[in-house]
Amino acid sequence: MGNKFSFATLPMLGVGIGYRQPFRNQLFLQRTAIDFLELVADHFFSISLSSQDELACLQRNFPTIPHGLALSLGSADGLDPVYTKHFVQLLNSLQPAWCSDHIAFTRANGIDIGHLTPLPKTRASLRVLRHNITAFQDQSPIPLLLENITEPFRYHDDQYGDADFLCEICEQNNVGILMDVTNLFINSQNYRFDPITFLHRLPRERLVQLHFVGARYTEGQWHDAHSTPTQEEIWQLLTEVVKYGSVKGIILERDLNIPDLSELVPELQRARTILEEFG
Amino acid sequence: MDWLFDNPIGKMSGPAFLTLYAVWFIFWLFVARYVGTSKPASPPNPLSIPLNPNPFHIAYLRGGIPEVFRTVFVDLVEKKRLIEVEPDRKLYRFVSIPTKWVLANPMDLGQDLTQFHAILINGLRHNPCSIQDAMMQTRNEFARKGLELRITLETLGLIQNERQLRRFQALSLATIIGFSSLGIYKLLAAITHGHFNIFLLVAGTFVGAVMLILVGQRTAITERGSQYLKDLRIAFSALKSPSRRRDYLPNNVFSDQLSPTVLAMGIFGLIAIQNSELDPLLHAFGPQGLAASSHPTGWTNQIASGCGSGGCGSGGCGSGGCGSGGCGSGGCGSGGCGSGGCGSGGCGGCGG
Amino acid sequence: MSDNEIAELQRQQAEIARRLTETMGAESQPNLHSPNIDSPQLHAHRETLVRKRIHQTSTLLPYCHRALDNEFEKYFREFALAHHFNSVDAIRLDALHFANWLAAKARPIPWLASCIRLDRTRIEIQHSTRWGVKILRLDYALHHWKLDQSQPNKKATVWIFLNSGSKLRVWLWP
Repeated sequence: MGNKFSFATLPMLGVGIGYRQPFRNQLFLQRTAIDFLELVADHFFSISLSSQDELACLQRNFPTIPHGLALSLGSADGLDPVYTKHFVQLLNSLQPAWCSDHIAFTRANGIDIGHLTPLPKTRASLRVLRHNITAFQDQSPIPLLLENITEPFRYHDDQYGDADFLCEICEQNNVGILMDVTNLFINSQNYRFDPITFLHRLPRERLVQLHFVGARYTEGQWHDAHSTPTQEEIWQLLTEVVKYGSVKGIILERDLNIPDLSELVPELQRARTILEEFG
Repeated sequence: MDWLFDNPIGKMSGPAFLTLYAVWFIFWLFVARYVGTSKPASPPNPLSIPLNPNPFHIAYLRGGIPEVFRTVFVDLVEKKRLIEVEPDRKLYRFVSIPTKWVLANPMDLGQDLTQFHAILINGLRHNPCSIQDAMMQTRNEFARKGLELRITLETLGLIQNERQLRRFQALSLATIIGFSSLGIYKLLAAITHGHFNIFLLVAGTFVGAVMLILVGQRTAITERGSQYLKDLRIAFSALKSPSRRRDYLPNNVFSDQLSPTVLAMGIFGLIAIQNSELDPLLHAFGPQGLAASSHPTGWTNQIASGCGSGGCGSGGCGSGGCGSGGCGSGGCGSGGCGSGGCGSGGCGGCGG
Repeated sequence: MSDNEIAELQRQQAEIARRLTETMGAESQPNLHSPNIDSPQLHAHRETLVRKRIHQTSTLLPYCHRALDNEFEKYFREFALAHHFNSVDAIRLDALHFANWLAAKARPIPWLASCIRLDRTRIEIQHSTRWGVKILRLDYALHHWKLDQSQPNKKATVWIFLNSGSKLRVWLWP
């Protein structure tokens, strides 16, 4: 993908949800509340024929954005060719407006950690990210967004600040930002920094998509449980991000304690109101 | 005329020719099957599911007028506007008679419902009658109203239009003529040569032509219509189960006018009311009705009439394996964190 | 920036991955490299991973989970001490192997054996429906192969790597 690509040309998708199986039966009954779907790419790699039909049905009726979990762009060992191939095949099939994954690594030295693990904010990490992102972009022209993750720990040898690190990644690789507002809130609370100051140091034209959901506070720490309604503080932060960035899509990412979809509609409508008013 | 039949086929002996004719028939069988399985052309872009799907449009797409009748009938029974008439058990103790139905309120005009409902209500106003009799009585009016539905679906590119139907009929006729031409030629050759033991040849030609007609029947649904039906079955797969239908609350799709049961009837046919409170209706419709309503291949082409005789499609819908979040179906996340194994669940959610 | 920094990052990531997934016996191995983070935080993250595996496995083994109730987590932690799977199918493998482990190690309680059979069967059936797609997508086609002659004049092995990520050892000359 050439450096001349502008994220301003991406279409406005609106407000949607991360697609999960429990939502399937209610999805078409709440269509007025859902503009687009985010699909976890891993769930649609080696699937049965009936699941392929389901994917085709979703694709025909909603704009869909695939979201990877294990590209492991921060892995110093390089990309997993099999996972990358499956991901690219899915992109070729869906032809989405953009795709996304995380600033993290999930694999090292042949060990699959099974979870997103943060990177040290160092020059070495930037170089590894550039190498892996370039390798991915050589295989697919679909614009790539990178998501910030919750950091369960931090490294002692960080060479960059949070915002500077993210800016370097974006500029070096011409990628956009998928800002997980909940993760930003959690990190800012756990590591005591001002999220607004962080936000205002980011390139606003690259803030393309947002994630949000409720967080959980236990044992003196905030955690991204993805299982509760969104707290008011997160709503306020989301409003600030929408005001600042060039947001094209907002996704409610509810993974656990999944209620009836109709109970999530008020959150979707509130997000839509914010996007329409400040976007 | 001898010069016309003076060739190896004209002079071929009976058994040899019948063998050749059988091979000829198999060839035309494949041709007829190819013609029969080809779908009418349709716009390439798929039709997305509307916000308020109309169960009667869907029923017509699935199985023509008979399916619309069944859906309307079940709707009226569910709304308790049609009630069953108990037969006189003393009189009919030893004889099985079809159940009769009558309006719950004789003054009911059905004006708050669709025109199909009004037709059926009027048909049952005066005398109780069985489902089969009601279908016969209202058939013509349903067919007249069905023309409007047909035009709507043709405009959407979901079923074939008249021009496509005539083209298909011409192709079918060409297939039959192509097959039987050899038999007719041999028949003439045999008569010319004074051989009159032609019974097998005539019977084979007739039976072959009938088989070609049956095999070459084509669904009236276009590719777009098939995809639309498939999408509906996937999107509303939970409606197929009566127990899960009870969980649906009124929302922007369902209301007093449109219940989950009726939408399920429209999409899946009579199979949708199996094991529900309306299960006894299946007996009233009879095994033929259930079979026709649940035919998996869609309504076959109506060469003779505009009404579907067969049915269509309850078929398999993508019901997603074992329930929600079961293995392989994208289980939900755990601990709020992403990076599940691919293809076998794991969760969405990210951010650690 | 030197390649040493990249190598250093590689070692750091390898050490983190090892510590997060180490199984019983592995803790006796020396820490090869300091990952430059606080051990308590790393331990807390490891705990998160275990809880995640517990939740995923309980989703795939719902009847076992219901039969065992609070003991499910206790048993899984014991199982996780010795088992970690590096595979795209890790969640399914976790569930299957844990079910087998329960059959062998858990105390006999009513219905547990039936629950294990039922849950295991569900997982196998779900997995089997993917074979058609795997074949259609040529997942079993050759990706690349490698000749391993690490022991010259002794034996050579040809490794076949498939599109699906599996590898096969197909030849072994004595």
